[in-house]
Amino acid sequence: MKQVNQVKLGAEYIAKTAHREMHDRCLWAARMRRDKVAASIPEWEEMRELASEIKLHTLSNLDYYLEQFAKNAEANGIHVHWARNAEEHNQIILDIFKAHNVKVVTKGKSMTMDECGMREFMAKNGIEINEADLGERIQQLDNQRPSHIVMPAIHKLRSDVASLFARTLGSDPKNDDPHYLNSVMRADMRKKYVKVDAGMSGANFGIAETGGIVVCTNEGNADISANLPPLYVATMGIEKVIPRQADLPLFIRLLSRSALGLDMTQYTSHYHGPRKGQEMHLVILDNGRSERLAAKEYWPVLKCIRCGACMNTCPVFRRTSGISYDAIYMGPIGIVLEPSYDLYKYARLPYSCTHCGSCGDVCPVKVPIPELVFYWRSEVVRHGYGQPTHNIEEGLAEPLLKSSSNLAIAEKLGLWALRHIPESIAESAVNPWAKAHKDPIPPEETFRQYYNRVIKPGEEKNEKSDQ
Amino acid sequence: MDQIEAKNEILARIKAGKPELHPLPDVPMYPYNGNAMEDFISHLLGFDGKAVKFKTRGDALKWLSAQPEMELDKTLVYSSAEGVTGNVSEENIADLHNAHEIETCVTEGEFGVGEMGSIWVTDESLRHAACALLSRHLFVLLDGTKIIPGLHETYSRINLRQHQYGSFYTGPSATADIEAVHITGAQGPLSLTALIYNCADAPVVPELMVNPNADTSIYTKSRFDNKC
Repeated sequence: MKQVNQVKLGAEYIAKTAHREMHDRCLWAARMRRDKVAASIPEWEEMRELASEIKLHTLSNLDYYLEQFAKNAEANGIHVHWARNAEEHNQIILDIFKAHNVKVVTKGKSMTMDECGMREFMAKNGIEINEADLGERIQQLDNQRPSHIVMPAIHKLRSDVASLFARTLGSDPKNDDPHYLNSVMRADMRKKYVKVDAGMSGANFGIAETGGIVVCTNEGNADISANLPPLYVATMGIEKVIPRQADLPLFIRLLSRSALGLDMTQYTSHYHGPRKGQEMHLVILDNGRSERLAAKEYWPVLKCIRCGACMNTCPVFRRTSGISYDAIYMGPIGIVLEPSYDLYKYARLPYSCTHCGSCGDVCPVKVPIPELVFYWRSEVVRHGYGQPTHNIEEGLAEPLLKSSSNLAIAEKLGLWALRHIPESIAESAVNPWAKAHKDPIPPEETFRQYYNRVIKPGEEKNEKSDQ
Repeated sequence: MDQIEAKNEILARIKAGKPELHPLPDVPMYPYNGNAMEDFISHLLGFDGKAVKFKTRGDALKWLSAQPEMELDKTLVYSSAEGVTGNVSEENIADLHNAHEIETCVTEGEFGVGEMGSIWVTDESLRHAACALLSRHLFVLLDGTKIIPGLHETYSRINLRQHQYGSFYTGPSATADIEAVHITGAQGPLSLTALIYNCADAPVVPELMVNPNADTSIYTKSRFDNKC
């Protein structure tokens, strides 16, 4: 199996100027809206800290909360299932569908189900799953993965969607007005809803205290899928549970504001059982999560509430699009999640990062993504899956950073190299950093030399006068 | 598949590997310091919802009955609101798949949230959520004295376990999935109008408040059976 080369795939997207500019503009707009709305809430930073602590607590007592959740959900009339892995997850749902003779399914967006390859599995078994979220449906019709957690087709131009819908849904290929394209989707979905046998969705939160799930969407597609057919099946990863109803408003207040900079998702829906005459099933999925929980420095990754804020802010993601990660999860959270599914295949993803730290700054539950990037880089090198340059980097870092005198020598060496290595070498393919920019003009001295000459004497003087 | 075995194994794995216990903090009841009614309306309008203020519930029902969406000889109207009669009977929607034919749905909201412009609706108030979700125009009656400033307080007044389905509806159905262009009327209702009664300051002549920048470009062509 080949390793995913995000640098190469990303370069293909960067080369498509119109796509890249639209993508960057839309995501940055979401980031700016997020900043504006966050700044309007005085307790915003305190809320992030609290949300993080509640998640850390829940994860550190997860068996207790899962049992409580399942007990209460069952008391509410929900059929609760447990799946150790993707195969079990898919089989459980197939068995339910077979027992109900299900043919037509409409589905709200669910990263967890994508992770299980559920749709492809059902197709093989003769059950057609219709994605009911516009972006997700676009991606389904195009046989492509979602490129963003909450905006699955944001890497596509309207003209791409127009030609896709013309090909697959018979719409006017010349009309690329998004309003028209939405109406095509709406009309097509109504044909499915008229005969839908079962609805599906993921779950944003599970509340242990009340035994119900919360599903947040803007289109109302998950709500229709859950409230119309006689059968409703939802999937929830084990890490989605929160302890109490009183914890929920904290997360709801953070979620949509972080994701899109909007105060609320249009449909913030709570399910505590089937309606009269309906059957409701919930599959609780592990699929590697319990292993992640046991990994000492890595387990806080499970705090993630899948809002996508880290993607909207990431300078790499904004220019390369989610498709270039060639994985279920993309962007900053993707590069620290995917190696835990397959370290070899995704060994290069943790290097798709400029260390700007922005993802960690905007994360509503403070997942330490920047630190986890380093965690995975060490793991990649330790397992021998790294690129030669990565191995050298990792090998040099330790002696370099171990003592200040080693670092001082390295600084001088660096300055010497900047002055004396000819441009033809410094800006050749050997140095990937020089690809899109020139080397800086070498300064007179290193920062350490400047500090010792100018700043330090002044500080020593101040210290003396303090005494 | 042995579910007990799967459950026990997952729980055992968690127990064996989980980190040291972190403390559980309390979530304070963060207050919302705006004007509940004013902010409710401005936020709802921000989500392309509409609102009308009335002095009494009677005024609201009177105004509603004069709306073109309520012409019972021309349109299909489902109502779960007290005092509003539709023309879709329970028998008509014994199979909920028929709900897509409903043009107008009238229902009750239990609470409004100033911080977001959201309306709390439940299985009880909606009777059939599918009718509200598949209708083209949704009218929600809301007692103006039940608009709560903040979300924390709102949740403290709700017992989630009592409701099979409970949801905060915040404006009509919307999407921004194509080039982030905001579009109203994705899968669910094309419009949501809050009829707020018990408002002492309601104007004598009811005024429909709309967002001047709202997306109103809903295509009438290419609708399924001209009816979605």
